[in-house]
Amino acid sequence: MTTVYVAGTGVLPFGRHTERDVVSLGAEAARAALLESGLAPGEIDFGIFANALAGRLFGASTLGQNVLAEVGIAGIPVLNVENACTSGSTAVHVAWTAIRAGEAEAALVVGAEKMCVPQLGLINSGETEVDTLLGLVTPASFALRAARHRHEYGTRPEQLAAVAVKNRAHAAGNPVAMFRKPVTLDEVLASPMIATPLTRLQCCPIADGAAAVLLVGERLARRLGCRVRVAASVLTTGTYDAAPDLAHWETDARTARLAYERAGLGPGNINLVECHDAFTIAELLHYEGLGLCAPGEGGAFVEGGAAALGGRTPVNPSGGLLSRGHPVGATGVAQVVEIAHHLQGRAGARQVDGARVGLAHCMGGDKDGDTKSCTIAILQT
Amino acid sequence: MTAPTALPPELSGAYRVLDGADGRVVLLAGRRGPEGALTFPRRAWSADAPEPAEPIEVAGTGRVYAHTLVCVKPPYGLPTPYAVGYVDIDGTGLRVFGLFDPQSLDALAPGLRVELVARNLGVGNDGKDCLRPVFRRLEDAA
Repeated sequence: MTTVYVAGTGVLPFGRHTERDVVSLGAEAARAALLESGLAPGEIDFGIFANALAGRLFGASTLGQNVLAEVGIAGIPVLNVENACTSGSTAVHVAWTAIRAGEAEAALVVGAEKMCVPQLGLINSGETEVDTLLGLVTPASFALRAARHRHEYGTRPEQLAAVAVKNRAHAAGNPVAMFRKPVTLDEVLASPMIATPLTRLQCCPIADGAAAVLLVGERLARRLGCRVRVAASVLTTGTYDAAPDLAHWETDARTARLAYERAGLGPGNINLVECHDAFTIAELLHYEGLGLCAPGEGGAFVEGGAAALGGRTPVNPSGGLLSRGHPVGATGVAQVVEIAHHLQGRAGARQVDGARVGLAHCMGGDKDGDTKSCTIAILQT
Repeated sequence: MTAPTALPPELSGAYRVLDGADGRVVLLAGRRGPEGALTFPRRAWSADAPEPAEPIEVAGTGRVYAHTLVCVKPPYGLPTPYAVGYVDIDGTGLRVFGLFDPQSLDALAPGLRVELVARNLGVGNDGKDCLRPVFRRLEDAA
């Protein structure tokens, strides 16, 4: 099977794009990726568009065809992907499998979302779900993990808040991040309570935004001079056990094991991570699930600086969902773009020096105390 | 106005309010195969049984595993704040998500003994008042 390379990237600033629609955002990111790659629209033979909310918020469907038509791409297979927060990363995974299987040679993945609208409301797992009727909103599902992690390991609120402080400091160096002003531990802890123990600054903001990545097979990679390859890509689901363990994320650990095995690497080889820090406790659990530290040691890992730029394994140098923002369908694509930029040595003020291997991790949806979807892509030069 | 007497339709397949039992509620669980583990909510089919899973009524008593107070604007007309969490149901291997009785919030802690009862709490997707199952502190039952 052919090796898959990153040929082009595009990412728009995340934040409020009041005057623009999802198609316009997606098309701009797609155009940027095309121009960066040097490929003509007619050379793209597979298009995938990721979006999670346009159906619910705007009554829209099959927007991928609209987005790609805006940049001159039509008459090829186009797939629309909805997979909650992993919509974008799932689209990347599908593109990777299509190229590996020889069904495509140049796959353009676009993720776009528009969330800053009055009708958004609280995000949940769906209005017909039992847990939703019983008051489960997304912050609560993560707050419960924080409560249990504290019960089992003594993880302190200050350790959770340290994740938000770190990611805001990282975002200061990222021109496409939504929030770039540093915050202090006291400010994070004093912000309004959302669901105990998580305060507002420990919850990611909604955002509008778009990102795109163009993946190609070996033949085109040679022609274009691509250096960053996808060493592994994994998509899994939760197991929905009768007794979910909220202090350890088995789905994280299982997905990571598969990704490391397929890449022939381990956590010690990873130079940087972009992970799904929708809430501070999530990032802390991902340290443990990805094997960056032992179970229960996530609090100490971030508090000691290991996850910061300059630390042992910088996590979310982009600012993560907490500070870059979380336009759901775009997030998983933006994570891959961020990793690629570090491996290409063009991440600017937030560059992880000498980065050769990066890991992009995403999670999406709640079901029975587990995630509905988990993705990991490992990129390597 | 009359008090609601029914669970919302989305919940009636997962819980049953016992008649004449002080509002106590049982869980309608399922089983993965004849000797398999219980599941809740019940799944229609299991991988190793040819017939649809029959509901198994499980008493709603157990111990708090984790809880949180939700302080954002509540959905479904729930009070502010309201508490949700997971409870380990006695003798079943089930850890189930649920609401906690607004009158039991101060006592909530891991290990607290609770039981499931029906309360007139909030509205359903149709906007009408409804019953909801909530876990209350067991000693509050007297």
